[in-house]
Amino acid sequence: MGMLRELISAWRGRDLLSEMLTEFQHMLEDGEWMFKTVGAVLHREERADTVHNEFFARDKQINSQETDIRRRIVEHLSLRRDADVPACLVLMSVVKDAERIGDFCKNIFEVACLYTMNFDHGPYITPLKELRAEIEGIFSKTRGAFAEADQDVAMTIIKDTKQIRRHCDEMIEQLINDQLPTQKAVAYTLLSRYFKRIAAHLSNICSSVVGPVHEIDHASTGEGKISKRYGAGE
Amino acid sequence: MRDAPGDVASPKSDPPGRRLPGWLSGLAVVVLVYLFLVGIKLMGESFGLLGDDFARRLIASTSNPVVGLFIGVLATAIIRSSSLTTSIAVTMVAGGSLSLANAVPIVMGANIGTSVTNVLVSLIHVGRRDEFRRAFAGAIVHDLFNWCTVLVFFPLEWTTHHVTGRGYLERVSLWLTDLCLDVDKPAAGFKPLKHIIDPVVNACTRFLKEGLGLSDGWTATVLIIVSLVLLIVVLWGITKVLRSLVEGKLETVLDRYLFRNACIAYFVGMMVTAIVQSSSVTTSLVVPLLGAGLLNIRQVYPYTLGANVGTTITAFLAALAVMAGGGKLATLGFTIAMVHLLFNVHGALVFYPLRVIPIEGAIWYANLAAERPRYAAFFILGMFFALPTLVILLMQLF
Repeated sequence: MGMLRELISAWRGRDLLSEMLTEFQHMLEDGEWMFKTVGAVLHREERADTVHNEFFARDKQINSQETDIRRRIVEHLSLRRDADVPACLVLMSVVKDAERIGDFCKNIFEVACLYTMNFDHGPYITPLKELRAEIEGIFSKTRGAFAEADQDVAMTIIKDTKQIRRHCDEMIEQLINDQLPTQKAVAYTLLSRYFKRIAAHLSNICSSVVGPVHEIDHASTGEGKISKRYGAGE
Repeated sequence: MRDAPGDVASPKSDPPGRRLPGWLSGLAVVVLVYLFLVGIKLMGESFGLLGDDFARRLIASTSNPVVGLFIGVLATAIIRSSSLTTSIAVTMVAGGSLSLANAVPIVMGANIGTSVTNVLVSLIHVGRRDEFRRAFAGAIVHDLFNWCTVLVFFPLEWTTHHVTGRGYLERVSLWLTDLCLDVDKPAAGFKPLKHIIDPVVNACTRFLKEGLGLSDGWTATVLIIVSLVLLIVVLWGITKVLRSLVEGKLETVLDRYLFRNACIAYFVGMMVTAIVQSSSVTTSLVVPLLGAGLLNIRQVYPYTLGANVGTTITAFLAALAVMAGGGKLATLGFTIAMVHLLFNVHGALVFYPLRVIPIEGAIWYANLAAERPRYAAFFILGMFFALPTLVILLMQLF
């Protein structure tokens, strides 16, 4: 009887594509939680050992969700003659970005644990804090832009993340020419690099909203190209 | 789906392709089922017109059960539908053109012939060895199960027929028919069907005989061709419409219960096949999942057994049509449909515990075919076409 009820509930449930999209949103939510948490650990607002278990459980969940979505993509494409192939290809690509965000958050967590000094003074603290705040703000916008297929918001995010990546590159350039102690230099360099990568992956996710499948990860913010793309279909 | 280059690939896009609204699909199914019943009745009418002499000759030509078995295999492999083969058998048995005993091996053969479709589907993976190995093994296990079941129950049926006058499946099916139906008044309860089917059938017959002045023989020939074409088109249509109605839900159910355990797999295989009215569709659906490694042959096996049972529903539908017409032999249509069901149920009862035989056999042969794809070609051409043709011809000669 229980199985029958479950079968009926599955029968009445949403289609697989909708479920995959919802699951992808959960991946981004988990990634956002991980980033906020690791930022708190980095700036000693939270203790690493307090959040450790939940943090790594979330990462495991993200990996499991990626596998789940990929499996469902194969099922959807195999079982439906009218399968939404572009949507599936987009999902196949963006789940990788969401999974990589989780991995880079873990890398940041490792830096936060290994770097024993505090991030409370020096010329790099403020830029790092600003980068952290900017990236934190982009997460929820990215989720919204993807869920609603909002090209305007997605394009704004792409431009913002381009700025973030440029700031990260500038920081690394500065670090190379600075005379910081090794521990500090390595920690700040790695953090800049990881922040840059997280921003890039968020940008990749947004590129799937503004461009065709074959141009995912390569969205341009050049004005000429934007109007050409916006012009299509208008 | 994007309409033009440059369009965004929004995951929110509606699924491509146009679908009929639900109510229209439902109406289409009702119309198609009605046409199916008309087709069955037309076929029954045509065999009736051919007379007792034709019936005697047909029964004589199928009196060799081995010939009957391979007729079932070959006919089903050609038309790719065991539902159609068994429906024709139902009609012929109920019309007296085929004896119940001679129809049993044909129905067994139809079970074998229907698995050609999913084997053909597995060939799309032939370019990638490991994918092909998995897909081909999962596809041919259906065929091997059917052959194993025939190897057990065909001799059993033949032996019991010779010893007791009736085969085992025949005897049990007749008993169940008595249990389910009032054999003295088989048309009782089906009269409404008679009233909506007979006028169309009678009008067709009258048009050919009185309108065009055709003889009984020519009328029968035209009706056979018309009914065959009608049944092929209608069964194809029913499968298409039902599949499009349910495939969105199907993917969710299969995702959630994807072969969680053998019981669920069996039940899902049976229900899905009963809904879409085609075991070929149901078993072919999982071939790409096998190739991709999402499923393995041991998970798919009970699903395949369930599909075999679910497909018997079409024969019962055909039996409804012939019983509506009444007649002395009307209930025998139901009986042969019951034989089909019992054959598959018995097969599952024996070859689920002994599943190692068809499964390991399929894996072994798939490994061979993965290394040398010509073995896949041998399997398809040999099992479904060359062997049946050869046996039928040799049996006729000797």
